Amino acid sequence: MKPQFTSSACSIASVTAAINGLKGLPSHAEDKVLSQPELLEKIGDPLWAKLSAEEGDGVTIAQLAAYAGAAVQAADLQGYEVESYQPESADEASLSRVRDILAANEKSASDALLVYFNQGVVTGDWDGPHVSLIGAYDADKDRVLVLEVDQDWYIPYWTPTSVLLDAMIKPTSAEHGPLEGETGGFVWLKR
Amino acid sequence: MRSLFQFSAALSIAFSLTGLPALASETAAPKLGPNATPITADQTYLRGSEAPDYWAFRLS
Repeated sequence: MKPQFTSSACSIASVTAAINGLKGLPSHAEDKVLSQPELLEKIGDPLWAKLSAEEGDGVTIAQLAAYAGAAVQAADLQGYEVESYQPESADEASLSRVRDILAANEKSASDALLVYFNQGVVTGDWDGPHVSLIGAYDADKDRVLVLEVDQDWYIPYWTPTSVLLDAMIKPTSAEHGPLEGETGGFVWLKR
Repeated sequence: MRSLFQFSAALSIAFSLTGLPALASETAAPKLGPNATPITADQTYLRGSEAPDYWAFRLS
């Protein structure tokens, strides 16, 4: 995945990486790999562009799912659908469901799993909502590899599954304006 | 989505440069807290498993 092209473009960066990974390298020499601005242009939604511009508010998980669906259509990924899962609490049932999704996603690269989470719960720093792509699930150690698109600050990192669940259910604080109270989860591009 | 954080950091630096009390902690925090391990520090799983998503999406 490429770095997010603005400080608020984590959703575009993650969706673009998912689409590029699912489609694979273009067949012809003259075809470029899809970029984040090109995906925005293909989707043609001014709200996504505004929310993701520098100093933009960022998206909700519902918007992320909708834009991921639009991207699947725009990229002509036949047979793909978008499924969301938003855990409501950090109980054992939620943790079990999160593990099941991660394990299913780990089996092949024919699907892509986006995660909407509070970055600070995982990294110990900035307390706010964020989107990145799941890169791997190590079931034996019950930990997740997060492919960070926020590459001005991070490289990919492992985190325990229980921590990722905590990060998904933490409500967004008031300092993030219209996103206050939003929680996260998975957005799964699959067929 | 970290624009407010960046503003706060810039404010802290500005106070420091003007001689006013710095808002930033005197002890720098580690890059990653105890809940995150950078991929460069632990490659065991990726070297021992197929990890198809990593190879499909890491460079996409």
